[in-house]
Amino acid sequence: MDRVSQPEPWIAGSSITVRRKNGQNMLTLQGATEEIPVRIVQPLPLSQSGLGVSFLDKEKREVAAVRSVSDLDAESAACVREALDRRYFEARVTRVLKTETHFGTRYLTVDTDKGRSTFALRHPGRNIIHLGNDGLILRDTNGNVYRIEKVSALDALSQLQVDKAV
Amino acid sequence: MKLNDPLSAPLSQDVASRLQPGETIRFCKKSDLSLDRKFGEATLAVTDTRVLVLDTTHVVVEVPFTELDEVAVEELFSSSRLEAKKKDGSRVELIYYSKVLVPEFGVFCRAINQLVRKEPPLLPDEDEATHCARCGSPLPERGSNCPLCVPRWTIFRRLFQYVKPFKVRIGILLVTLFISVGVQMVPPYITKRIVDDVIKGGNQDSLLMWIGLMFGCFTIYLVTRLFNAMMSSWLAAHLVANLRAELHTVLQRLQLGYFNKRGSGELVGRVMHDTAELQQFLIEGLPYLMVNTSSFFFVAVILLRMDWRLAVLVFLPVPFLIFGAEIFWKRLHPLFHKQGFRIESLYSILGETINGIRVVKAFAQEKTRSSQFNRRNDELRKIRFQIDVTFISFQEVMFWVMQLGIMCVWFFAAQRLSRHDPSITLGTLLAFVGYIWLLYGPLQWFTVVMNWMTHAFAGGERVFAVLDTPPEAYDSATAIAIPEVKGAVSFKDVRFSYERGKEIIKGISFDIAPGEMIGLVGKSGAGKSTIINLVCRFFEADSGLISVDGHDIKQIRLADLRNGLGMVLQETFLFNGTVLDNLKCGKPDATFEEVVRATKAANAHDFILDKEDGYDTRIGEHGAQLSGGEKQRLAIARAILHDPAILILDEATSSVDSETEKHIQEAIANLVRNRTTIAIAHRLATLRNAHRLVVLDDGKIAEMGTHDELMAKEGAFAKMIDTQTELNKLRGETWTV
Repeated sequence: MDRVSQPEPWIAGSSITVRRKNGQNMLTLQGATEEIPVRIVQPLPLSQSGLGVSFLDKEKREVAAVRSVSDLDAESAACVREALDRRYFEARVTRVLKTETHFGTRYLTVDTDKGRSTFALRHPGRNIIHLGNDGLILRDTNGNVYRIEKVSALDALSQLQVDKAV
Repeated sequence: MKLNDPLSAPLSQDVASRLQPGETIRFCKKSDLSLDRKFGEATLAVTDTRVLVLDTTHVVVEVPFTELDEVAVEELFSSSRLEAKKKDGSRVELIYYSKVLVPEFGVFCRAINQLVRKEPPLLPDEDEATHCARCGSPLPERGSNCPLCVPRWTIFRRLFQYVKPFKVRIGILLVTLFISVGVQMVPPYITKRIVDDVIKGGNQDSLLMWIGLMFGCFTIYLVTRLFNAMMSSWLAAHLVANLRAELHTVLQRLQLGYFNKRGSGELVGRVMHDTAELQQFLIEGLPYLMVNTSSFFFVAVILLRMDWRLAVLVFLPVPFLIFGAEIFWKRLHPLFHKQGFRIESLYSILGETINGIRVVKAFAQEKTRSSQFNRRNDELRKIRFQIDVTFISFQEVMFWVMQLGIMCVWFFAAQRLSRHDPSITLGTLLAFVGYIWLLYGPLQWFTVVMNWMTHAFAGGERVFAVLDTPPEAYDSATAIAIPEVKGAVSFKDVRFSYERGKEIIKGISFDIAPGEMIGLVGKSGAGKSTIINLVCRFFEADSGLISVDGHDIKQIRLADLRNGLGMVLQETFLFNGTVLDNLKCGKPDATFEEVVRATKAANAHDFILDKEDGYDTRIGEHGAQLSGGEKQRLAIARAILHDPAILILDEATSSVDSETEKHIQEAIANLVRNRTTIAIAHRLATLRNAHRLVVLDDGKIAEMGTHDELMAKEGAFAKMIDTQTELNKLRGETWTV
């Protein structure tokens, strides 16, 4: 028995449309004529980036949320995917070339889908996040995020380097 | 700040071809992300009249100032971008950059907006490096030393400065160290003489002398080693104690911003762990290195002099021992780091479980917590096992290599002995074997100790990094002395950011007369607490002027400024001492009568007397033995006793019940009388006594005036009052403002 009535987290994808106009993402709720400029964010960008998309107005209030981008109509979905791609800069590691640890600072040189990068990582308790399915999130000393989808899917040398550093 | 990155030749040409006569490039900054958001390069250039975005070869976006409303930073996930907001309402994405360049582009953004508004752009002077100038590696923290380029010997030299006062003891230590090394060399030689002269030569008379000599050597060795151990422990303890004391003193004098960037655990680690590691190395590692380095050379010379052909055989395994140790360390080093990380996370779970035991029990989380702990515990067990196996394997393999050397010596020496080679005797062979152990034994740990030294010195480097951090300007020779602060405070176009590029206070101006009470009102993050931090000079403004009694606070002697200030904060901090100790911390020479007058004014006297030990009650860590309201009233009494001209009240009545709040309000009314007071409160009712209210919004003053003026204005303040009245209705409370 529900003791407290709780609002649903998602609305149907068909109840909103999203379009990009003049460099801004505009959301229109079903039945309304007003277009609301929105910021499009993910509630779980690290652990479940596919789950949920929220639309925030300029007062930073959520005006709508859908469970998945694919719930939206094709044009809205394309617009949202593009916005998310621009907002979430996440380098996916394809190869770990070198790792070194000096005085508690780990240095990693990696190839990613966004190019090669060398970064420093400290406080592993906070900045190395173990995901399920053998995945890893590494957050460097500046806050940039690197994702290893599956450590076991990397080449043997990369796995060795990951094991050394992580 | 460096905002003039050079353009490549093709970019220069392209930009030059677009510039109007007389138009120049004002700023130019390269990003670390390309325009298609990959690791790469793009450039943002600002001329006198427009913003240009450049890829690697040419200009791709151009926004004239005439079309520009403002440029804004859009904080993204793992990156940021600058956006041009145009006057027609449209937006243009200018450039993306990683989190590394947030400060630079934040300053850049402000500078563009100032140029658009035809104001002189404000650029901070300092430019903290993001990468090591020597090796190019990213620095763990802006402007910090590069861990890859730690100057080991510089640290050693600095450490030496700390032992200088003990140079006589160090001299004695060195002499006894060399005596211990010297006497160690004698027994193998005595072995040779006993075998050759006594056993083979039949000279029984000399046996007692040799045995006596051997006994003497062993005794001297024992005495010198004991003396060395005591002396090095004494020296290390003194050095580290001095270092720790200096560190504690320096930490208290650092700017508040230093602590904001670092967890207390990290700083406690530096004071305790890094110094302890240094101490351990100085007690054990350094004498080991000194004794064994000299011993190695002594033995090598002796062996070469005794029989150079056998000596060459002895040296054969030396490279294997050195390289083996190097390989061993490379394997062990990451394992140690992993172990440290796992111990840390195990501690964290344990600490959470103990501190949050009520929540654990209330939500029946015992099994979940246990399984989390067991998982981490298991990971630690695996790492510990790997470390032990690596250690034991190394030890045994190295022992085997050493035995190979001994085997070679036996093989060739025995051949020569059986051929009755006159250049070797059985005594020489046995002495050789004795010396081999003196040579090989320490050698296997040499690399390990060297690496240990690197670690200990890294701790030293971290300690020195704190000691070298510029403190607050306590002792500026040019500072103005104001023995008695009157309480006039003025802000003139003050701008401030905790992190470069993220401005929190955006050009604020207001004046407070002596004795006036000002209420700072606004949403969380509006900048209320930051204004207080600036008044107290915990941070220094980026630009503008903050003055007290007509003097720029940067020019006032810091001790005078702080003596003129008193604080009652939301989170009352009390030291682990008695009630009386805590009350007197603002005025150590206060008499008991003065203390009682203050506690009575703060409505604290009665509850203190109600405690079994009265004013001698120990209040525990963070005042654990007191309720929230009691702590607040102690803090108010402390401030009354301190008697400051300027009083800061930061949410002093939050989280207390109505009855307690009444007591606190009465105490505050006593406290603020005839004092300049800057008060912050979310519950606007607590500001009903303020002469004026300053309403802040996003780092700017939205409204300022008396309560009545602001209510009549029906602006932001009136809206906040309405919201709070609604909220209080929901809570069933009634507030009058």
